[in-house]
Amino acid sequence: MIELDVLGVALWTPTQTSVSVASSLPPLAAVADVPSMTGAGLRAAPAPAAGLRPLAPRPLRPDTELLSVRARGRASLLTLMFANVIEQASKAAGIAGQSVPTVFGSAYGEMTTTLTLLELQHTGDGRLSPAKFQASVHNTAAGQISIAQGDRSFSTSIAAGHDTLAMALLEAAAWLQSRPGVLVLACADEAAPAVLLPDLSYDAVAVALVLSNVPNSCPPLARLRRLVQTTTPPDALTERENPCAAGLPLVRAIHAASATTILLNHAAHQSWQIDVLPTFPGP
Amino acid sequence: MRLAMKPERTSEGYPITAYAACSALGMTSREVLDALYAGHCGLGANALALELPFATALGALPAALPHLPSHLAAYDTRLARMAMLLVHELGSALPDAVHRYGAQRVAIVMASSTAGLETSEHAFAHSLRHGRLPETYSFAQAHSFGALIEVLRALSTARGPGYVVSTACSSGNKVFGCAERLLAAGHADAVLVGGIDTLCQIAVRGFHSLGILSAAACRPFGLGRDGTSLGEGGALLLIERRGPGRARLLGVGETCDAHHMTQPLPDGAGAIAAMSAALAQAGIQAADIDHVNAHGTGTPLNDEAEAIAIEALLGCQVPVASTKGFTGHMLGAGASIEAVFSIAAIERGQLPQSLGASPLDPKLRIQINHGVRAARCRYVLSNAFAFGGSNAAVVFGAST
Repeated sequence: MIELDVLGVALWTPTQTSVSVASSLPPLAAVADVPSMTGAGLRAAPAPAAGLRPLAPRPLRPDTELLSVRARGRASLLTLMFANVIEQASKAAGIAGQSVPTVFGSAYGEMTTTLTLLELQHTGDGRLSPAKFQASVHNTAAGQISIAQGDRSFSTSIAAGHDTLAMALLEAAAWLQSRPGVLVLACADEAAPAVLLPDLSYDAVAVALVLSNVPNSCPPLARLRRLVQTTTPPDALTERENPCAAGLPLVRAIHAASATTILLNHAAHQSWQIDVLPTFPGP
Repeated sequence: MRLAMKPERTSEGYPITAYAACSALGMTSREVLDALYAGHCGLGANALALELPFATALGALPAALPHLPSHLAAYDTRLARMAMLLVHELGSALPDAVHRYGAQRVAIVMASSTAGLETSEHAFAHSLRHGRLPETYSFAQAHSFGALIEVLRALSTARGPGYVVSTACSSGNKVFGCAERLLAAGHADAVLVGGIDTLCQIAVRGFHSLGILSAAACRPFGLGRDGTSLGEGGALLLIERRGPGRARLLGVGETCDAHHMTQPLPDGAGAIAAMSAALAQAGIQAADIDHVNAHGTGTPLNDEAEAIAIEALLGCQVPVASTKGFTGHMLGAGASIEAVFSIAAIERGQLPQSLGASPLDPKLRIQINHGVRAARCRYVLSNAFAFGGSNAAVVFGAST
């Protein structure tokens, strides 16, 4: 059975507030407003808890110091999203700058770059940009961040449609069960690729969690337990959301500090769920 | 630490009970292996009629693929058809595993670099001509990585965890790491692993744009080699918790170069670290390796760095072969079909030749197989290295 401590969390969306949570800080002072996901295609969320402080809206391209200025300028939106949430969650967990295994999850990967390549094929002589091509692979963010940080530790990049977050949690748990320690999990997907998905519209979402299965110097924010298969209730079924949108209620549950079960896939009848257990009193 | 289940892995590893393969060499593993050992090259003309403004050799499947059944019509891509071909070759092995362990205890972990991109290329071109996507095109069911898992679930009765590893050309080896962890941690009792990739214009044009695509059939480790050749196909392998196997999965090592998106560390340090980790998990010494299935793409830098790494860790005497001169570089699927080649070397007691390596680059001091060699083969080390500096090495062993 999976049982993991959450040491830090971060979330990024283009139209909503960003959040990072530091387990070493007093919860209410550090906790920001968890976004209400009422943007196009995202499911509505409960209003933020009273007393929580919203952060300023983030710019369209997320900022990050994990990449050099030059690398930031060339990086795709998806890579910047990954770098942003990994940086924020790592800072919150007090592991910034450390070499830590990382699991990257994205259902569709570098779609903006892929669409650019599709267009280039039909433009002029059809020559592709080598820079765009090498940045179109699913593990672009993993490669660019490891290069920028000089981090040679384990990383992987996975995809599983709307099960991506659930399977990233499973991959993270399996890694930690074989090599106990700390691991960063990051899941992100860009907004719906309108050219290939013209009937669907949803915002970009990125979420990162710092997970551990060893005792740590600071208390965990929450504990994740019992990742199991389940059935999505018919009234919760929708394919009209970002494949990583399940990261939002997961972050909300960690903030809320209440025991709850999070459904990790709203797009399929067969889904996965995980229990969130508080480790400090809720607001 | 709170582990509900102690990892069960032992030095015996896990049995690989069945496999299937298709590539430019054939539509079944038997055809593929017979062609490999007969020395037939699968690389040739542009059989898929990809629109390419340059010359290159491609490794396309040699026969037409069957369509998916009508209830899976939305998934009916070239990728999915290959998946069905491979599932059919596995025969009763997969249903038997589901029966033995239960559907939710059989996981699926696949490798792919391009997934359904080939289908999206056609859909995009159609939209340019007609102003709309084809009626039959579904992004989620034709393009996405997750569709491959959905198809494999639909074609089998496996209902356990399912995901795709996409770390470019190392993916096909990293799936073995996933399987080992899922089994060791008790999340599954059997794991269907493998990789599938199809030839598509963006991949071929992209490798050409990087200046690493040969105009002729690639010649890994050969003097004057000038780049790789691309191929398509895939493999499926069933790994189980227990039982007799055709071979055993003994160890996996996964590292990052943290150096360059498309070039390896010149001293091979990342590759050495991955191979060392695989040996350590397998519980064997470098001297125990009987054969190395090299990544061997045919690009000057990659082959040189890999040769340096092999020499540094294993010395100059261990036999080494790259099979990409037969199949082309199958990207995310490459290491998975090379796992089948590695197991075949153990089963047959025959090491494949490294097609195109003659004359050998004199700078490389490793022992390249210039022909099929009969040899007692207990342990094979198989390498895969990728864009983004992702390295993965796997040790396969004979059944005990």
